[in-house]
Amino acid sequence: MATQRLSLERLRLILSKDELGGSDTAAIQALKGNLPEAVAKAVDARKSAADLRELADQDLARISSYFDASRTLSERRDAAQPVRADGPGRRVPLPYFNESERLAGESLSATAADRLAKDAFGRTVLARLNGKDGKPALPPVVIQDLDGGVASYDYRRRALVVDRTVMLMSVTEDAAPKDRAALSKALSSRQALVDYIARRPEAAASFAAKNDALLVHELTHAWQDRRDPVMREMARGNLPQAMLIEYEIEAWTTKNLYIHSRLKHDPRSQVNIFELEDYTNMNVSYSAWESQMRTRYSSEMPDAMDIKTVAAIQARRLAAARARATSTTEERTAKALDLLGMTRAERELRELSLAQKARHESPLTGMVAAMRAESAAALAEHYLSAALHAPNPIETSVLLRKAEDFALESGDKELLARVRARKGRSR
Amino acid sequence: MKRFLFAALLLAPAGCRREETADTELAPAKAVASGQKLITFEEKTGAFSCFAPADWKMLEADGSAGSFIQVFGPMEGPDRGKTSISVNRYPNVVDKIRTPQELWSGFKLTDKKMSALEKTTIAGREFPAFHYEAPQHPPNGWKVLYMNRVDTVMIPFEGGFFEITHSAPADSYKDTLPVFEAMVAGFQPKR
Repeated sequence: MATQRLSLERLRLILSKDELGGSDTAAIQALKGNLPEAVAKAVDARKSAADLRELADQDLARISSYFDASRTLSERRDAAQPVRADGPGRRVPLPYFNESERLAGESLSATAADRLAKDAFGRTVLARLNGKDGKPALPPVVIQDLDGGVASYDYRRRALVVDRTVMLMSVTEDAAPKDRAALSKALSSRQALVDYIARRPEAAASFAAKNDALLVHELTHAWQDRRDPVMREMARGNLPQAMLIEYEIEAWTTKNLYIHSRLKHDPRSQVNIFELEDYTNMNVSYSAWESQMRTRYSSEMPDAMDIKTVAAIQARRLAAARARATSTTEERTAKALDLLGMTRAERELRELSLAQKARHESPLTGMVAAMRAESAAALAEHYLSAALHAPNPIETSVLLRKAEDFALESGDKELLARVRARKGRSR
Repeated sequence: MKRFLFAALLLAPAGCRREETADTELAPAKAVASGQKLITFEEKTGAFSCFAPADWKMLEADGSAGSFIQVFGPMEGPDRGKTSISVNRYPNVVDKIRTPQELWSGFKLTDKKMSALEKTTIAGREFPAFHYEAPQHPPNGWKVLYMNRVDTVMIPFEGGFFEITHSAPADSYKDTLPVFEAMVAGFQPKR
């Protein structure tokens, strides 16, 4: 129902224009899949803008009153309270359902911290999540089905979620080949897998080692959640619940800064091939990489939007809340509390837009520029190191060719000479 | 040398930004390419103007490397929203790339199967261009959903160049290539 509401709000935003253009009609078509049936049928029947507005308003009123009526005054008072930055903050008494899940989650959290602490930039990522006592306060980690996703940060539970299938793959590939099928069968239920991780910290550590870049990405979202109040306002219902593309680009960039740090300090670092490909793409052209990221989210995630679009929907929600009729003291109190929360959230969204611009214009851009200047040499050293340990001559040859290409790109003559010397010896 | 072919391209007079003007039913769609209506678009800082597909979603904002525009479409059919055409400028705050050769050389370092850097002729003008295929992954994983065909044309201007890139599912990229070609043909760098 939240997705329907968001889609109706996006529709209503488009329909608020005096005249609709071709792009508006196209955008309405794109929303159809998430609209209530009657509205979707009206879109198909190419009903007039006025008819669509009427239908959308009726459904919005119905859905909004569901959300409004489902919140008690006590919940509204909580939602109206200011959101405080820093620290893990108050959390609902989820996300762990049982003791085994808590142990597994704490083990994954601890091993993630151990893994990231081995690297200088990893320690920067961890330090962003320090509690008031100055010690790391990572979010809880839960294992569940993500339907094709690998991991995500759930801002409602303020927890990191790891996909059950990905975790199971990590566990079984650590086992001897002859034992894998039986182990996979034994851990086919979520609880069995959770129990296994709870009992075996080495399995958690292995997962963290293989997926450290992924963990950096999700922990960056956890940091964003503590740094800015926007996700908490979304969780409280004071802002539309969207996936912010600006946040995603920041998380992906941070992940690549971590990979760079690892490669720079130890060329022998094992990096997931897809993550390494992404790191390479970003360093070839940051502009082109950002365009690809925007396509990746826009084409596959209906709730992915930029801050500007979320702000436009919020403005309409506020207008609707202000216009809401009240006749009892309770209704007036409810309206006042809703307006308090939503107005504050709207201001925070505006502040986020300015803050993201400032962050990108200065520190993050500076770090990316520095990484760009070093990445070719880092990749050359990495491939050279990998070539020294390649299992066969063909792979050695492929890796040395890559090393030579990146060494040429780096302009480092000494590095190029070393790579060519190694190439000569391998013939 | 390559020549791109158009479908029914009519040149439009220079003019308005993409947003609708009050005195017309729509920023008038004067040009058509591959069945897609085109309007004249004016970049917000006056850096360039071009044709843009009237029925596609447009993003125009400040990215980390500078301002950009990106259009997503078409908005109907099985490949809805999977095609994008982006315009970036080099060099910029992050990418100190000054020539098309440098950009192409950079892409050659990746695992993509790159074409050669060629000269392409569009509407009587010659531009450096290249293309490759790249996998499309979902936002939260590395599964390959489908392969994209990516075509890039570069327009040199004042110590740098504009990069216009068309990215679409490899099976159907030819359907929207004329839209890309029309954007390139009508592209006017200004400052």
